[in-house]
Amino acid sequence: MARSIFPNPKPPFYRDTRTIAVLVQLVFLVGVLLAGWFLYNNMTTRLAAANTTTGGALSWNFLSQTAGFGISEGPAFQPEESYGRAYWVGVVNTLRVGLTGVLLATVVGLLAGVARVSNNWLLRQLAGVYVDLFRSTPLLVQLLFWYVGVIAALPNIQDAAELGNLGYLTNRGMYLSWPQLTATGLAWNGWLLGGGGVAVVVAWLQRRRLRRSGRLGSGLLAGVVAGGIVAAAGYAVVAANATLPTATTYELRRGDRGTLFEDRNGNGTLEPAIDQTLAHVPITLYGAQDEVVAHGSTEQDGTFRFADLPAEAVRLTWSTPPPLVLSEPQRQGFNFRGGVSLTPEFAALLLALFVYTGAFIAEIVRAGISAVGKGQWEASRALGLSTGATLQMIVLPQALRVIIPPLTSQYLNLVKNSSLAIAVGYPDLFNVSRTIVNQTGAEVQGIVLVMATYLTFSLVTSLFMNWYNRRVALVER
Amino acid sequence: MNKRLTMVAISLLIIAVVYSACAAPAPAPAAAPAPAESVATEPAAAEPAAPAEQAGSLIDTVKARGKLICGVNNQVPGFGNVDANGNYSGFDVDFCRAVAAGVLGDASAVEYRYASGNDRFTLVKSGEVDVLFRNTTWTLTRDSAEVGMEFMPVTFYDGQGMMVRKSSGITSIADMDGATVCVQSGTTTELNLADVFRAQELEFTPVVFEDNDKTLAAYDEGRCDGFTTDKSGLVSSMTKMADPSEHMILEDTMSKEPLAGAVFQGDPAWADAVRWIVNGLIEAEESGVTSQNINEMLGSENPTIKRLLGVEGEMGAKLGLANDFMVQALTQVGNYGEIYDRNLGPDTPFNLPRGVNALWSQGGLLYTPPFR
Repeated sequence: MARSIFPNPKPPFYRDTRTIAVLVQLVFLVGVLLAGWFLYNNMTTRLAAANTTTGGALSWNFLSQTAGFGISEGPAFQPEESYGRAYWVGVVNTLRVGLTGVLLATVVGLLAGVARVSNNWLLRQLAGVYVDLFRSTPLLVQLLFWYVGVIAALPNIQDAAELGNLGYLTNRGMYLSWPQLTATGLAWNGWLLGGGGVAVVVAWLQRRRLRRSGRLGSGLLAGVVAGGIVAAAGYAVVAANATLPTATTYELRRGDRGTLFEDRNGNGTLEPAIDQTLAHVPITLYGAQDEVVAHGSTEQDGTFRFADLPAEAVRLTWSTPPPLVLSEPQRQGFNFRGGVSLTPEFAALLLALFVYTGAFIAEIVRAGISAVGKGQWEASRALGLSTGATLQMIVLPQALRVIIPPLTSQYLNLVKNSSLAIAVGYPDLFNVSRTIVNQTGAEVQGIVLVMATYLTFSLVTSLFMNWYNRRVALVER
Repeated sequence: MNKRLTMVAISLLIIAVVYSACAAPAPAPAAAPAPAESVATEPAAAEPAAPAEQAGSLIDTVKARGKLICGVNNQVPGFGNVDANGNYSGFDVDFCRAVAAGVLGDASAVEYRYASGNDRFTLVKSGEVDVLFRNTTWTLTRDSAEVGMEFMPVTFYDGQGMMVRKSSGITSIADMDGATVCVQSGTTTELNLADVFRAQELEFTPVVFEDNDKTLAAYDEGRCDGFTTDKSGLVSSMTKMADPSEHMILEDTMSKEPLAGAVFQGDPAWADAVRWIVNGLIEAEESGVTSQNINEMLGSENPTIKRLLGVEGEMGAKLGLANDFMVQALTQVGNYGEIYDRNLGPDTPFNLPRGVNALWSQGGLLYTPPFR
C-alpha cells in the first residue's frame, strides 16, 4: 500500500479538467443564448415600434395575397396569382437550374478528373488548364462573363443566327425545334409509361442472366430495344385511332388570339378548352366570304395567337394532328413562339454553375483515383484487363468511397450558389423572395422562408448522398 | 505549451477589453440625450442602447451623432448619382442636405448610403438610415403598417413611361403585345407594368434586375423590346446609353408616381421635423425666399416669411429644431425651385420642364400647409 507522494490527491475543482470542460461549455452556451436573445429582443422591439397597429406580430397572411408582378420563366404564372404561388415558381426555378447543374457538373467533373490522370499528355494538360482557370476565379465574375460577355454578344432577335433547321440563336435566348405531344398524343403517354416499365424489367432480367453466366454488361441495350418496341407499337395504335371533335363556329376574343372551344357535354354549348387537351392542333381561320385568313396551330396550353391578322375572321376549323409534332420556333411579333426556348438568364446561370463546380469535382475525382493503391492497377493489368475496364471495375468503385463525402459538399454548394441568379435576373427563389419582401414588408418571414427552403434542399441532398455513401462504403465483417 | 496557451488567452482578453473600451464611446453619445435611468443600473453596455434608441426620437440620435444618414440612389443622374470621386449629387440628394442643414445646421453632415430598390424599406425599418430620399413612390401598402413607412410631402410628381427603340415600330403600349420588357425589381413600376398590360389584355415577359444600371444595360444590349421606369428616370437613363438617338420614350403615362421621402413609421417627432423642412423648401419658393436674397428677407415684414425664417413664432422649437432651421437649409441648399433647376432644370442635360411640379399658384401641384 504505497502512499501518494502528493499531499492532496484530489486537485481543486478549478484544476480538474472534467470540471473545466463542463464550465467552458456552460459559459459558451450562455454566451450563445445571450447573443440569440439580444438579437431576438432587438427584432421584436423594433417590429413593435414599427407596426403600431399589429403589435409586431409576424403574420404569414401575405402568402395568399395577390402578387401583382410577372415572372419571366418557369411554371406558368399570372400577376393575379398569390405571393405563395410566386414563391413556388421561384422554388421550381431553383430546382430546375440546381438539378440540371448537378447532373452536368458531375459529368464534366468526372470526365475532367479522369482526364487529369490520363496517360494522354494533351488531355491531361487541357483538363489541368480547365480546372485551374475555373477553380481560381470567383463564381460571380464567371457568371457575369457568361451573361454579359458571351450571351449578350449574340446577334439581336432581328438578325437571329439560324442553327440549320434546329432553331435560332439570339441574345434573347436559344429557340429550338422540339417534338411535342399534341391533343391526340396524350393517349400515347400511357404507352410511353408502359414502355419504360418494360425496359426496366427487361434490362434487369438481362443483367441477371449476364451475371449468372459470369459476363459483364448492364442489359441497358436490351431494355432500350424492348421499351422502344412497345412505344412504337403504341404510337401506331394512337395515330390510327386519333380523332378530335370539330367545331365550325368560332368568335375571336381579340382579333388575333383566342382559345379553342369544344362541345364537351355533347349538348351544343362550346366551352374553352385550356386544360392542355387541345395542344398543337392545326387550325385554319376563314373570313366572311369563306376565304382563308390564316393557318396556324395552337400552343401547349390550347391557346393560339396570330400577330397582325389582315382581316376579322369569323369561322375557324381544326384538323386532327398526329400524336407527335415537331414544333418549330417561328417569329411572331417581338419574339419567337413554338419549340422550346432557353433564356439567356437560365443559360448563363447553368453554364456558370456547372463549369465552376465541375472544376472542383474534377479535383475530387482525381484525388479519389489517386487514393487507390498502385497495386490495384498493376494487379488488374496482370489479369489482362484494359485501362477502361480497370477504371470502371476496379478503381472507380474503390475511389467512390473517397469521392462521395466531398462530392456531397459540392452538390450543396452548387444549389446554394444558384442564389447568385439575382445578378443576372433569373427568377430563382431568392430573387422572387426579394421582390415579395419588398412589396409586403415581411422581411423576417421572407428570410425564414428562404432559409428553411435552402435548408430543406441541403438536408435532402445530404440524406440521399449519405445513403449512397453507405451503399458504396467498404462493408467490414 | 500550456504557457503559450495562457499567453494567447491573455492577449485575446486584452484585445477584447481594448476593443470594448474603444467601442463604448460610440453608443454613449447616442444614449446621452435620452433619459439616463438605465445607464447606472444596467452593467451590460450593449443592452440599454437599444431601448434608449426606441424611447427617444431620431432627432436626438441624429443631433448626438452629428451626422444624418440618408438612403439614396446612386445610379440615376439628376436624382441620386455618385461620381468617380464618390461625391453624391442630385435632386434627392439635395433634400438630404436640406434636412441635415435644418437639423444639424450643416448641409455637408450627411452620410449617404446606397438603398437598392429591394432593400430601401428594410434599411429604414431597421434604422440603418434615418431618412430615405430615393425616387420612392408613395403607395398605400408602403405607407401602411405592413411595410411601415411614414411618407414625407411629395417632392416630385412623376408617371411611369416606356422607352423603346425607334426602329421597332412601336408607337404606344398597345403595340407591345408579346414584348419583352426590362424592369427593376422591388419597384412600383414592376407592378404597374403587369397592371397596364393585364388591363389591355397584352402579353409580356418581364426581365427583372436588381438595380437600374443592370436593367438599362440589358435593354441597351437588345435583351428587351422596352425599358420601363418613371419618366424622369427614363430621361435620366438616356444620358447613360450607348446611342440615345436610337431610342424614344412613348407618350403613354402608365401610372401616377408621386415620389416622396420616407422615414420610420414609429417616430412621429422625427417625421414632423423632416416633413416641415421639406414643406419649408416649397414655402420658401412660394414666398420668394432664395439662397441669394435670404439676408434681405430676414428683415422682411411679411409675417409668413418671418415665421418661415424663425424671426418670430418659435416654429423650430415646436419641432424640436433650432428656430432658424429653415435659414440654414435655405442658405446652404436653396429653395425647392433652386434645387429643381440645379439638378433638372434648363442648364442640365435633362432640361425637364416643371410641368405638374410647378407651384400651385403657377398651375402645378406643389402646395404646402401654412407655416403657423
